[in-house]
Amino acid sequence: MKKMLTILVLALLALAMTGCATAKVPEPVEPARPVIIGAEGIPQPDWVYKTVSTQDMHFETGYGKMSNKQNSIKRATVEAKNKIAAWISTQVKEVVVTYVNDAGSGDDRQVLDAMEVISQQVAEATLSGVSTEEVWVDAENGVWVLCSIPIANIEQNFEPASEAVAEAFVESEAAEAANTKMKEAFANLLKGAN
Amino acid sequence: MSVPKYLVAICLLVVLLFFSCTTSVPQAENDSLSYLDVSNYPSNVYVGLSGPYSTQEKMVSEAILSAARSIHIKQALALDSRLVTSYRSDKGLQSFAKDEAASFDDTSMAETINQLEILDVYFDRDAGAVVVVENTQEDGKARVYESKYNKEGKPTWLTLYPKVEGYRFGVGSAKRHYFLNNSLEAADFAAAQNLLDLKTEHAYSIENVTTENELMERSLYQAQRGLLKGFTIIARYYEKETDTYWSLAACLE
Repeated sequence: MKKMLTILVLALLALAMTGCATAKVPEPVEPARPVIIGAEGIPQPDWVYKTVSTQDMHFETGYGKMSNKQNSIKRATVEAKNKIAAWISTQVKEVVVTYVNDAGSGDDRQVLDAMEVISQQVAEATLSGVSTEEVWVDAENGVWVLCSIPIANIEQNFEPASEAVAEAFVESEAAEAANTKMKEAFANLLKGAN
Repeated sequence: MSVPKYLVAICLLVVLLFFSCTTSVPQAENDSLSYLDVSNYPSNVYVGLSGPYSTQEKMVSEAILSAARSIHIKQALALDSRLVTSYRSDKGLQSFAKDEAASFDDTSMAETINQLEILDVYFDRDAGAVVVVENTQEDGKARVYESKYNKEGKPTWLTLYPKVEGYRFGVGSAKRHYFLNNSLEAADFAAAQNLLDLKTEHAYSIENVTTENELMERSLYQAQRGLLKGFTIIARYYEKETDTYWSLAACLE
């Protein structure tokens, strides 16, 4: 009888242990991405479908498919540079809106105009030092490029514009305050964007 | 009937000789290009070609000028490129027009020519005179890159840019012009513009998008400029199937 009881206890113990071991939730398995091979036998790089981001650089991709590879590269780089320009313009517009909301000075036309001037100047001057980091040709001979611009280059270009505006509105304290605040906001936005 | 052993040996030698001919290093399809290959010389050796002229004297002087131009271009090459493109949602790409220019400083060309030492002169039906010169004012260093060839005998740089620390590479192509020198100049120019596309010092980009009656129209203008230092043509290739000349160019990072 004692022997039977021991066997029963051992069996229960074994069952309890097994139960614990199987209670583990299975880890979600990521669906395998098919490997896409390009025209030159090179697998599709991650940057074609994923945003690349670092603290000190801004990256954009561009695509082009023209009659020859050279023109395809040209179109792809043009598109990437335009995306960079658009990104910078968006950041600057956001600065204007943020400032006007923060200061609650929607009626102060002088400040608002100053901001508009800055936004135009930055959009015109920011693309300095754009480099093509990678080039990938897909199976249909379309060219993908990954272009980068140092954030420092954008900030540098922004400086002369803001100073020019400060000089132009020197008689207005509001303009000076706006200039300082705008600089701060722009620096913060650039940090936050990456 | 038995064949003499020495006859078998001779036959074998002949067969071997034929095979050795077919496995030679791939050369450019166009013989004229082989005259322009100075990859075995140090970096202070340049080549110039004239294209056909009525006299050999004229051809040689034009070829010397061409070599001197390469030296000046290596010092600094200013590039400018403007592009307008427009797109309509119902018709796709409407235009892709570009206007490109390159310039270099030729003010001291005579001085440069005086410092040249002529190493070789060849004459060719297509190339005219080909002159190989050494710039005595420059230190000779090893070449940055040497072409590698794939199984089809085409240079690998046609598909993949070479990677060498401190240098950037650009590839350009041009369909055959009437004169060889014009074809090569067009391919070299395209390679320089390719370098500018890949690394832009200054660019201005403006885009307009209008939407009317569910029709989207987009126009984009982009201007870019740059100054290349150390611009050199590293290799050339002629693709017979497409009748296209290719140039591989390098410049300092």
